[in-house]
Amino acid sequence: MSESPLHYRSAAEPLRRSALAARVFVSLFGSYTFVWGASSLLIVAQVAGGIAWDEAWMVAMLVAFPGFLALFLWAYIARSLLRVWLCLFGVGAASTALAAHWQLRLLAGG
Amino acid sequence: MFDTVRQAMAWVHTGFGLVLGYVLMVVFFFGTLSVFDREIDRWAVPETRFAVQPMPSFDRVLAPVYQRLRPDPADLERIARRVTGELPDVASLPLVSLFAYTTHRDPVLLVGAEFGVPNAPLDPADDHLHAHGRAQVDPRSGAFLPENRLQIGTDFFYPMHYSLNASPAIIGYWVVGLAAMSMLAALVTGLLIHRRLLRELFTFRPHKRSQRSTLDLHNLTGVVALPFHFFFALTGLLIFAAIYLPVHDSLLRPLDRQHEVLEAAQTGLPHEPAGVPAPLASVDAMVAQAKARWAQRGIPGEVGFLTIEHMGDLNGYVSIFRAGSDRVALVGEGIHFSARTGEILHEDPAPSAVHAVSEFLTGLHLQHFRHWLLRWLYVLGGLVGCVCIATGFIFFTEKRKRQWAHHSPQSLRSVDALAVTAVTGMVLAVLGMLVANRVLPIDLPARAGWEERAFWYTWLCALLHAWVRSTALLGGAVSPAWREQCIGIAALAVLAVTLNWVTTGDHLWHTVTTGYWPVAGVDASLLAVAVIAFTAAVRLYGRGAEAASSAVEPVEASRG
Repeated sequence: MSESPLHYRSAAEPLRRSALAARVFVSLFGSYTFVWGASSLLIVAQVAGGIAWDEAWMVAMLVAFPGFLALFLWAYIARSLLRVWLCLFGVGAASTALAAHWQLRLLAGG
Repeated sequence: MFDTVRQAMAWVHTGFGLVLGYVLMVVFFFGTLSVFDREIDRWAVPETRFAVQPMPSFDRVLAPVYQRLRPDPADLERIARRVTGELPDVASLPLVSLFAYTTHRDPVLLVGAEFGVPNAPLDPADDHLHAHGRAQVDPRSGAFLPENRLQIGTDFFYPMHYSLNASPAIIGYWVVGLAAMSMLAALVTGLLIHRRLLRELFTFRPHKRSQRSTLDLHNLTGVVALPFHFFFALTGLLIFAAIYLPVHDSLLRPLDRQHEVLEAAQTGLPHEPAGVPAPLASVDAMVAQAKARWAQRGIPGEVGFLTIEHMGDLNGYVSIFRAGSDRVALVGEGIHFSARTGEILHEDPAPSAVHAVSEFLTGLHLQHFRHWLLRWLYVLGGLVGCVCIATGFIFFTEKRKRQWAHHSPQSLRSVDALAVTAVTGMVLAVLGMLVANRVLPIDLPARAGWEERAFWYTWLCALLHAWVRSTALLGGAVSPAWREQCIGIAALAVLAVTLNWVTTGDHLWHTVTTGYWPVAGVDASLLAVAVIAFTAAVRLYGRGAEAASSAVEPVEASRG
């Protein structure tokens, strides 16, 4: 189990340091990407549901910062670093793309 | 690496706390000073030591003020780099929108305007091409405040707590944002690593070894004021949400645009100018009408914020907002008038639940309501935060002192020197600035710049002093920089109060007996700081002497 450099229980000192750096990186940028996409999607979904833009934006912001905090801490608690990377960057990118696509459809329809 | 959740959380707590704690200290301390930013302004700009004024008559006082207002030269330079060709003469730039803002604590009025720029932008998407100008005005006469006066509270300490006065400011915003997020993380991780919360709430052993009592104080202040700290870090992030998470200005810009146009259609407030010139009706009459409407609705009040959009255009409109002195939310209850006819175009509806929540959160952070006891409690909360962060640093160095003295003495010295700089050094910098404010010649060109330099250079001196004196740490002692800077604080604070007396004649007895609390409060606080710093210095000298005499005794004696 300790062979994988992405796994945070690796024993060798250089690996530990790089694994720690990878965790700090993903805890900040991964969580940001996730929150970026998720809050965009949350706004578009609300607007599609008939909620006014500025209200939708405000709800998303109220959720975004505590959400970032939770993801940031999870990045250190989670056992598998690979899972953290995939989840934060993956969901972030996917929800950003989905939000952009949904927005186009909304604008075309309205 | 991390065997348990607690270990992981402890690493986050120490790592981020150590790196961003210095920034947090700045944010908490200057945020605390910002609670009384207006009062510090009165102290620093004696010309403005007169009674608080309501929003003056627009037609008689303010209209001529805006005719004299010019764009900020630095802003014009930035604009010039974004357009083709040379900018025309400054005086010929048309004023396209304006605002005036005051609160229940302001004798002077803040006015500002946007000036249109006729040049074509280099980037066609660059559609907000305006030069900005702003000034402080004496509402009694309409006179501008002399330009070389720095309102230290609102123009330096207040922006310090959210932008570090960095240039460009956006760097400061992001560093402070990251620090605020670290504060939230430090609070949560702090809770997770300590299991006996309730006990810590009542545990402070000041007479134990300094490492133990420091940790007690760190836990106590962290837990007691936890809701306060969490609230301010979170709402600080929310206030700047549009900067930290600008989805509306990038990914979702098309939807944002659509909303702007829709909103203009719904409210009847034109989004774009018509391009047809039109005169301005009496704004005073609109203000009277707005006040009458508020009184009818059972919320009589003063004007806090007044704006005019599309100035001099057929589509121009005047928006009048009620000051929020009597509640948590800031200005609100806007009533919008046609600038040409003075007819009401739109009245803001009562805020929705989501808006009310948001107004409450930001209003509680920015606290423009009238309640002096609460204002002092904010100061107390902020200072408790400072104590929590500072004791974190001290605990960190105390715990590692013996080990680090051998294998990484320079790291130990750096951490402690930075801690001294972030605690006593920061107070010294503030006092150095206040002293400079009183001794610099009144007609010195770019006087404000010299006041700011006094601040930064005092701070730099404090850092150098702390670094030089930190060698004592390697012998296991507390750095003498702490007590020496405490003496410096006491001396500078008394000097600042004395200089205020000498240069303005407003000594404490005079301001207290005449009830001029803004200046009396700053002076009294400075004296209180002097007393506290002096007491701390005396105690630190006593402890230093004790340590020196016990050093010859066997090591056992130091185990309390």
